[in-house]
Amino acid sequence: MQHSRTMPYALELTGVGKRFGTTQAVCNLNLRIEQGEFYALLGPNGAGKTTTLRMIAGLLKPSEGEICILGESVLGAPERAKRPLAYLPDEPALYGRLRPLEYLEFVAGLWGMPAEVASARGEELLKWLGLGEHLHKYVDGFSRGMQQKLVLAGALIHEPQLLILDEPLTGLDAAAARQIKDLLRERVNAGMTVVLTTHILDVAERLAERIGIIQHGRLIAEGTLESLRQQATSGSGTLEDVFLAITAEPAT
Amino acid sequence: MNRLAKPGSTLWLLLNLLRINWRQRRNSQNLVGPMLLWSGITILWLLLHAFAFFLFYISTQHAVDAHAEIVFRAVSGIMFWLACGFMLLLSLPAAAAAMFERNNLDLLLASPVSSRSILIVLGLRIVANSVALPAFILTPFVNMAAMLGHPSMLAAYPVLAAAALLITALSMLVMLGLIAWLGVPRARKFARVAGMLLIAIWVIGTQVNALLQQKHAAIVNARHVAWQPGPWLTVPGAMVSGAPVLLLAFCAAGLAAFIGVVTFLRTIYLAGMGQADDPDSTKRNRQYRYRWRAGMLQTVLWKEWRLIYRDPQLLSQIFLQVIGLVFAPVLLVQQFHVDAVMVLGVVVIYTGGLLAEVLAWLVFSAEDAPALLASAPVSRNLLIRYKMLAAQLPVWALAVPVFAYMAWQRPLVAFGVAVMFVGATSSTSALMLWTPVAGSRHMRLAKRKRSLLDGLIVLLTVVGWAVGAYGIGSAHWLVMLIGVVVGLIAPMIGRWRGMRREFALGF
Repeated sequence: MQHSRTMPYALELTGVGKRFGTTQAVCNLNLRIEQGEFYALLGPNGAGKTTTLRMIAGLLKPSEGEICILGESVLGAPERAKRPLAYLPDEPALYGRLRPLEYLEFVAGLWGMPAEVASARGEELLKWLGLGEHLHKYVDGFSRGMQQKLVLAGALIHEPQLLILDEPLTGLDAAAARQIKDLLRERVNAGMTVVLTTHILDVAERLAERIGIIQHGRLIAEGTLESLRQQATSGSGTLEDVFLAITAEPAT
Repeated sequence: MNRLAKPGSTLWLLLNLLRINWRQRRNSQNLVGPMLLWSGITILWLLLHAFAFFLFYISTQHAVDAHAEIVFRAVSGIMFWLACGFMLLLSLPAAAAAMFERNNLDLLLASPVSSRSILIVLGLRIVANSVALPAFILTPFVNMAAMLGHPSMLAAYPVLAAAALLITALSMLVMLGLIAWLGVPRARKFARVAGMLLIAIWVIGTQVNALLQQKHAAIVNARHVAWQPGPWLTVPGAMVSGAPVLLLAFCAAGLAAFIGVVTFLRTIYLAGMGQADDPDSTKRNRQYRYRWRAGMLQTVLWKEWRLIYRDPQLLSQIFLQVIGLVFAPVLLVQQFHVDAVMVLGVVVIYTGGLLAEVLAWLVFSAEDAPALLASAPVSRNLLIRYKMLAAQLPVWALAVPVFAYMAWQRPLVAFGVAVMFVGATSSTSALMLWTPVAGSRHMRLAKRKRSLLDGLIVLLTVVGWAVGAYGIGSAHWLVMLIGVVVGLIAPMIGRWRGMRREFALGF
């Protein structure tokens, strides 16, 4: 579906569905996220959040529907569509026997960045994330938090326009989590689009401009925190109250 | 077992560590229950006694000449050196594992047990690990020799123990030296790879030795002269046969070396343990220069090769596998006197094909970050092509000296075999792509869960190309044709099987 805007959406999902055998993991998902927006996708365990993000990142092929990143179809032109994208999976997948800068240069190479630029930018990112002292170490000696930071640095090295993060704060200490939240806020202010899933509702409440709630593979609510409060008819509740009210299963 | 020694004593610690070590091994290898296992080991040991009895019985029937005693001592000397070689190759990796792989060392070092006791126990654990197998094989022969008129052969027991102590002391010394020189991570890598290298030298050495002995015997027979072994055989032979001065000196040397190492090198050991806290630190904390030059091909190749090169466990496993593959053809040449150049061609194809399959498994199925590759703006086909090259280029590079030698001997045959070689490595790599085997880089290669039929297809493919090479070398063109056809059709069957299942690669 072509919309009549001069600027394409950062991310547009139209009628996206995914089946695994007889299980419908995601069903008729429609999502439009503006450029420079901070969007949080929330949902209970097994709601289909990760499946959705994996389809956006090109890791899973949707059973139906269309996904466009900045106007490029992920299915039609995957390489062009993925160029402005960075995806951060829930489990940091790293190469244990690479050093952090080597990892960043490898990621940058995949996105076609010149080595010199990647090297300088990688060092800068590592220092900023507090990994500057560990340049000579192999990644498999890193703690979970350090690995998470490194994967985030990998996601940022090619300066993506759309950053997809699946539970980015899992396993981080308070200082590191704060650092990453500040970083994401700063990037959004600079024009980057961020889509994240999280179980830490406080993060979504503080950072996200719009929130989508997904359950049983369907988008059941979407909007600003204020509009979600109205949908949940809980005028002044926290996001946690709103979320629980919206996702509450009817008693059987 | 705990009641055999005072809690906290060196003996108590040794018994407990041996028990833990044994249980860990038993669990990791999914062996049968302990009763059945011990019964099996005992039966095998008794069978070895029967074999030794039969061997000695036969030899005493024929050993009527004056040189029987000389030959007996020479054989004892050979056995001594073989056992020492075998213990050395077992003890070096065992020293690296026992001394610097953390497991329960944190607990030990945090306990009030003295570091000297800990080092003694670790050393004795290495001794036990190195001496167990040689003792299992050799003691039946010693016992039978003692029973059949050579009671002095019982001296082999203290000799074996002293040799194990001496070799363990040497291994610990080498490890501590390596750590002082290279740092813990590189010393570990060195020890593992060196252990495999020693196995290679030992295997090839025993075969060369057998060849030389065959030739020597032929010369002796032809000239009708008596064979006189040198002192390198007669001295250990006399020692094993119970010469008192030699025996005492050797036992004293073994004990002194062991005690000396554990007493005087504790400081280096503890410093090394401090380094081992940080698994990635190196002694030479130099600044690394990172070189991922632009270009997708280089990016992919260097990433794959670095990951392989930096994994000593993996390298040693691959090395061991290659040795295993080379061993059978070496025996073939030795036993059947086949044309060496031709056999070289067959061996290099057989080994190279299977090695390429292992490397293809690493780059395809054991990819650590498939999500990263899948989300990168790179064509999947391009990635696959580059990964295929990453799996094959090292194998081709390893084979270059072999082909250079073959080209020097028989240039046309070398060219033909090279074509077959590329066919074999490409087919087996492609098979790994078409019928992927789930697994991670950290698992043991032997534990890959490939179905029997898939394994047979790989084997058939390699054998097909090897037969093709044989056809070229022996100018049997029909054989060559059959080999090539098999080498091409077998992977196609694999591809057909692969198309019928869910694709398992994550990118």
